[in-house]
Amino acid sequence: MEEMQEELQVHMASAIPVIGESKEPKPNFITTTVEQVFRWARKSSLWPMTFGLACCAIEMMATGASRFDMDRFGAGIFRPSPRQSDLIIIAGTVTLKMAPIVKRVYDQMPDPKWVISMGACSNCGGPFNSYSVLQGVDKVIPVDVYIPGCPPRPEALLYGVMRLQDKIMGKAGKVA
Amino acid sequence: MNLLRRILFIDIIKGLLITFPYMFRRTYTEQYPTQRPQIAERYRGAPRLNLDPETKETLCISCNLCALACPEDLIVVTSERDPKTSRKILQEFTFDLSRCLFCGLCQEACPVNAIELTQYFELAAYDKNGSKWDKYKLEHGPTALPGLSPTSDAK
Repeated sequence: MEEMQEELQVHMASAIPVIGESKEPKPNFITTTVEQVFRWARKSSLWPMTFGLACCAIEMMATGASRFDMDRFGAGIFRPSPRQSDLIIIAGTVTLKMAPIVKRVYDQMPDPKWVISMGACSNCGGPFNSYSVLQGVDKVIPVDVYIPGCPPRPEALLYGVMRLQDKIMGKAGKVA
Repeated sequence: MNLLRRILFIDIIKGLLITFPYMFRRTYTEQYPTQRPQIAERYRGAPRLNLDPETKETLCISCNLCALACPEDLIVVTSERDPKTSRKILQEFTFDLSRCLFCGLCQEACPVNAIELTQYFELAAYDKNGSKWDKYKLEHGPTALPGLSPTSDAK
């Protein structure tokens, strides 16, 4: 138990998200246009990791299926390998036993990568304020979009994906 | 015979004959961002603090029953007592959506129907603090707050 928590501490220290302006020189017209094209390509082919932890995963599967069809956003191809995925949807309760694995899967994903925290459990532990549950997946990996709900509707997840696409395109606006 | 089946793509044609009629059937997929989904009346989504329709004052009497009923203890009600009428006046009402189970117990506990769970479900936030709704956001809806991206996709 203690070893696990120590390991978690190490993981947490290395998972601080980088926030703020980039220190690179001001880009000119061509580089910004190219960057915009890259962003558009990234946002239009968000391949999520096949990674479900609890009941939210059922809603995630429903979102990928024909009624809600995440493929309309280019995000429907659930990859079985972290090496091929851009997005990890933390769908469900992250237990302390699972947290190092979540962190490892996240580390194995190639950059650029994004994280959606889906549901109350992965946002902040949800109803499980107990000895075995990680109180929020953002203690282990940086999260881009939080979706409240227990579990969220498939439309709510689609809304979260659209907000993430806004963020990728640089239209996220202020913190909300 | 087997070779002939392969050359003439018999199996593929058989499969496509099943798939082809689906082109002419009704689309099963919900066109969510362009079309609003039909949400059940009893669906419990974003909370709302109701205002008196005439005076535009809050209906909440700061009795704290919702906070006591909440299984997650995510509602915080602060109030001040009016020295003249000795009634409680609502100062701040915080609702932490990120932990909310949308169980509706607060709604059931409320004696004056002040807090209500609406059918609004687009609650994604870029920051955990974005899920902590204050009194203004609860009264005026999630899109009323400056800085929050409005639901421009869904019209």
